[in-house]
Amino acid sequence: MTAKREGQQSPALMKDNGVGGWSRRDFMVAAAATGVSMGVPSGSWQTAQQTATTNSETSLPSGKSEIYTGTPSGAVLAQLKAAGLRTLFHTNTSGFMPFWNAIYAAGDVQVINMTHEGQAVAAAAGYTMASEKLGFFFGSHVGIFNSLSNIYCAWKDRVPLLVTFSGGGLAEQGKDSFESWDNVLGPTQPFTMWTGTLLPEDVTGVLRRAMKFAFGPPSGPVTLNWGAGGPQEVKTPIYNIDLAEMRYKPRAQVNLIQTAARWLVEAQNPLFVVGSEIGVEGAYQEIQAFAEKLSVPVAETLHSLYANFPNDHSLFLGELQAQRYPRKHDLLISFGESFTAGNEDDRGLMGLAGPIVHISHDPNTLGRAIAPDLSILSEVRTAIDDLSDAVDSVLTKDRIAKIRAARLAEISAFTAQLKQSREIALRARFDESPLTWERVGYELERALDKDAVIVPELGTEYYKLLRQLKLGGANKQRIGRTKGDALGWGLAAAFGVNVALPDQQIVAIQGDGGFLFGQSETLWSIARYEAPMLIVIMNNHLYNESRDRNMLNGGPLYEAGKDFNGYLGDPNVEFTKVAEAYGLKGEKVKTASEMPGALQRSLKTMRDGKAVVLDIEIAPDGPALSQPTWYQRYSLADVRRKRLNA
Amino acid sequence: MRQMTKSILNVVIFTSAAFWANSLLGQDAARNRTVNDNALAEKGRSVVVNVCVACHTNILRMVQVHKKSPAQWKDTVYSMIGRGAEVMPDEIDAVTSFLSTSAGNIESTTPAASRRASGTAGNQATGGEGRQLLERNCQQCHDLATASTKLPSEDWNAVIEKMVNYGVRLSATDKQKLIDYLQSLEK
Repeated sequence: MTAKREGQQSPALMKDNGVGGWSRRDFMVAAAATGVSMGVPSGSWQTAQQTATTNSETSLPSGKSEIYTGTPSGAVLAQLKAAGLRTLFHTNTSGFMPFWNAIYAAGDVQVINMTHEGQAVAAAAGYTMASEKLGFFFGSHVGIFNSLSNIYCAWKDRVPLLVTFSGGGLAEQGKDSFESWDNVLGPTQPFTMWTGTLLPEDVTGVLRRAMKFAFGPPSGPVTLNWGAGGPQEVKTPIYNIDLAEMRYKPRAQVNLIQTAARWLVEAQNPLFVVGSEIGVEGAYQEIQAFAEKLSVPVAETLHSLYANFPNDHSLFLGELQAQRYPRKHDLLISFGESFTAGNEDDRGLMGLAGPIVHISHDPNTLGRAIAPDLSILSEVRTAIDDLSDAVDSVLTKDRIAKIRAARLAEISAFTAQLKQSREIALRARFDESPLTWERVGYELERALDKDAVIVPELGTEYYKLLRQLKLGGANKQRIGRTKGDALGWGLAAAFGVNVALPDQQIVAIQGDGGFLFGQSETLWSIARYEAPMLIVIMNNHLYNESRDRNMLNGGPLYEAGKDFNGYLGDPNVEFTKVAEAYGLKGEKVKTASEMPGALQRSLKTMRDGKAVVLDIEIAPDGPALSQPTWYQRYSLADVRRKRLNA
Repeated sequence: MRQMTKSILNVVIFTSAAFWANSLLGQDAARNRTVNDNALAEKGRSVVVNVCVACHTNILRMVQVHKKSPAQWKDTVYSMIGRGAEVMPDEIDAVTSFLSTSAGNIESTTPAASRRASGTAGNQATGGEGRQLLERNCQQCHDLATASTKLPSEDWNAVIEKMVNYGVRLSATDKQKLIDYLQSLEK
């Protein structure tokens, strides 16, 4: 192996810190030649070496991989662009001038400014979930702590993100000096796939590895620190990266598929559970076709991130844990569900009369939260196809048709009754004011586009609203609620979805309590970038879910009617005025009869290019479990002993 | 092995809860129902055990604690259907009947429960029912002393009407019983 190849620059410009006396570049060439996967399409490294031209940072690469000459920051941008990124998320800080210069020179990269690091990370996550690209955030290292909540949520949701921070560095280690602490990225480590430093001399190599770690599987956030110092100019390869190929895609072993298929054809009452990996892979059509093949009913868990199966399909049962007893399912096959909802999922799996097959593309998920009888590591889409083929090889077409018809008749009758019950429940309180969750869902279903995307961040009432919407399949899509459950995610995530999908109606649905978890800052970005979203605030002036959980089992506070942390009124926040403070439209809905008109006006405003905050008065759930407006009163104005001077 | 043990334990705990819920709820319910209600309520009890327990492993405790009117329980059933409970259309009234006649009948030692018990034990007079209505509805927002006191210039009809506008749900019959009782306290 030669130390330099045709087209390479003089060794004087390369740092000799590779392995065994070779330069780092030579080592990588050798590794590529031996077929070691480096996450790039084969031949691209050789192509990079063979290209003779070098470019300044004012002429960024397109098409084939090239050698880049310029600032390290320019190299970062060139590498991001080579991976298909044109949208970056940022929260204000100084120290990024070389990067800003590169962005300015490029002219085709959009930076989305946001006013809080946590909101920016959530927006980057929503962008990734909707676009299947890669969310990229850059900001100050001091903002790490603001960003942690939504880094945690992205980690829980297995969303590939690059979350990068400037500042900090080894020069300040041990000093406790201004804005410094040791192990800068340490606080992020429990919630990342990897942490690293963008070394100027290997900046695109580090970036490529970071992307590889982010996609896994398991997928998730990677945090990076922009290294300080180093050369002002670097010469580095820009790798051609196809993000669609970054995630490793395993395929099931044949014997496992055959076992699962045999169990499926032998089962009298199988059940499919669909999880978030269906949404990640976009395997919606495949799972629907496979369920329809043998008319296998389908359920989802509380923590499903996407609408993985059309909820208006006659095979769709609803939530796994709500399946009534006695449970007759003699086989459960999970397609991409991680079962991370804890007790809810445990209850959903209780009483099964047969084995559990767990299929996942994430080796960390298989057999982790549950103890399956058969674990299959596979792309879910591929596993579905393989299982379908295996079923076809075992059963005749005639037999398949008979099973399908018989089972469909029984399940359709059951789901039709459930639908009728929901209709009865909706109509019983249809015209009540304050509105019911069901009525809001009903009106949204009538008004929204068929391909609207719903981004909910709601408590346990959410099903009442979402079950009135047609979601999944050819219907509207749903992204959220984050499995992290940390409030302060939804509105920014919805904004990120809108950035990814500007042609679709995006509807953020928040509780008033969730919105008050520091989410109004995102309205600034929504206004700045004219995101024509609908922001629905389900306003019952109450943290209803926590009141339910705190009071349901009785006890002294229940008897006294004193819920210490539920009531949100006093002050009664006027969310419409919050919207107007950011230059957006706000509308209040107090009665059911006002809802249709308010929605139509909102949709018109959205078509004109502006977001709307719809503040809807919602009835608390059931009779009050506490004195409705009680809270532990405390007035600093009253307790002070010294009046301020006039 | 540990996972299997945990799963087995979960199943044992759940089926025990369901069994005890089934039997205890049945005993308490039977004490309070008329013969005509029994068939409907029995059907409702079966649904509660098979459906509600799917999410509420503490259903026994919840039914002990919460006493609501039939209309309120029906609202609760509708609310649970909205949240995914697999209650069939022909089971709604049965579940409502069962909960209305069974819930909140286990004695407890709390002051509120004692007040409820003292107001209902063997008392067929309007005062007993009126007191029940006062405790069940008014105590959700007011302490009893406040709820049973008004200004001399006020009229109980107008006061109760105002409370109904605030969201209290009372049938016409219950409203009159409550007003009669409040007026009796002034004598």
